[in-house]
Amino acid sequence: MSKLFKLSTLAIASTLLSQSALAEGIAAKLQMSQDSFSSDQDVMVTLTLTNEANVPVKMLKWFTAADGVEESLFKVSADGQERPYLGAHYKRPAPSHKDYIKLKSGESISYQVELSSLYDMSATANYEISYDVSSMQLFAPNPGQAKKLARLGVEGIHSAPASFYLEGREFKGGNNKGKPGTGDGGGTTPDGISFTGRCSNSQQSDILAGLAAAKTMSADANQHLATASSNSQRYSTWFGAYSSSRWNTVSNNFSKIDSALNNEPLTFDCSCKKQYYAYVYPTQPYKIYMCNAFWSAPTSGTDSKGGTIIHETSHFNVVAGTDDIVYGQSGAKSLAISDPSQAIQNADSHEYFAENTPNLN
Amino acid sequence: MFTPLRFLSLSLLLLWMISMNSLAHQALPYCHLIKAEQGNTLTFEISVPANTHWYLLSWHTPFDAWFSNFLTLTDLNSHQSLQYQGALAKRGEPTDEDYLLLPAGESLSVSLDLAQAFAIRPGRYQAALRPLRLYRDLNDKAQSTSLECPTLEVNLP
Ligand SMILES: [Zn+2]
Repeated sequence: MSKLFKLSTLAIASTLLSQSALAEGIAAKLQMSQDSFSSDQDVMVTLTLTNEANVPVKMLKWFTAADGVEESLFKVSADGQERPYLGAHYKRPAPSHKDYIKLKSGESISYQVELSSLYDMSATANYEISYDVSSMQLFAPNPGQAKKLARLGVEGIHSAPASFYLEGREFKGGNNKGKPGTGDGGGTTPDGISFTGRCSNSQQSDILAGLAAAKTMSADANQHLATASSNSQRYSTWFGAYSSSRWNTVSNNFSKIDSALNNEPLTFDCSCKKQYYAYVYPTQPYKIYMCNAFWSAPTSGTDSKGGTIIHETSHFNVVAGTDDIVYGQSGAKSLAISDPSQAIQNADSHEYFAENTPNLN
Repeated sequence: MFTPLRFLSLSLLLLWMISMNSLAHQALPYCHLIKAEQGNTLTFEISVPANTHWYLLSWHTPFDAWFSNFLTLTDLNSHQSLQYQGALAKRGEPTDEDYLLLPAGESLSVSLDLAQAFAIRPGRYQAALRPLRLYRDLNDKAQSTSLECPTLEVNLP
């Protein structure tokens, strides 16, 4: 997810910003939110564009971060080596009038951009970043202006670099295990966990915390099913009256969930913007799409990040092939009473059994 | 004079009045699936009687395609149901936006491209929807009605 906030339109350029470069009167400046970042922190940069010419200038929005970052706007390097852009390149029709923003003489506009979801920042390194847009489309189409730019050799806008230190999440294979060119973004951790769909640093660390909680929950669920007596209140609350065949099915489901979480190459995608917690395609293991509600969920407990990962993993046909028959704790409890054979096929029933909140024996 | 016969007819009148009243109360929408002219497309339509509107929880209905398994396609030859290949989404509690207003006297429809959720081989199938959950009043969600749409038998190419 690219985090973008339109900050404000300032009448004058701020003197706090040290770097600048001029092209046809537009200066680009970058300022990092911090000098150094840990692997779970989002990397925020403020881009300020200032019209230093004495006439108004129109710029194509696509290259300004006004609508989010939809092009590679920055050049990023880690210890001198260029890092690939992981975000989307949009194929678009020719720009129309409304695709331009106008900056009056002396006017500035600032945008905040989250970089770790857009560029491969898996390596621990000193990073250098500059705004680097070379497109003859950058400025409004105007025959006189195009000729003038060509004569001056102006190809776009480039800022001086800003630098920062980042402690990377060191994906497998060292420096760079992103998937440049797929437009997908991400990398693979030493445990075989992959990220796609522009997961930022903080999202990756949220997912890894949720996964750790899910593993704890599935181990505990397995332990309970292996040792508890048949009058387990925890079992009957979520899966209904005891029968040895249903108990075996649930045990089998949880041992497969536990095995998938610990042994299979899980992929987490961060591109979903819906109000869901998450979704999966049951026929496509082991990719889980995280959505808006996931990010605000607690790590463990009811409807948590860990429980969501249990729920989604249970859906894969190669795992437990569960469905969403009812949703929510009250629905799952009612289903356990009314139809235990359905309860053992319901994803939320598995999730709530694993979350075990409030605690039952 | 109070005769058993008169008592019976009064009772019948009363029963008739009660049943008329509850029928009026339950003027439920009518829902069905329709096969489109070509391809593996079905149209789902829900029609609401005049004088009363309803709300439909859109989850697990054709208006939720394909983020839940709301349709079962059964091959009438093998009696096997096709594997659902769409997505399954985990959600929290529904918000008011998740309830679709079905205005009185109107019909809503949505087109379902079955190829997006099933690997279909040519044959004759039965299409069955999950029952719909209908509400009269979003401030009184405890009162809800389940509505079963008739199944449809179709030849799919
Ligand atoms: Zn689910």
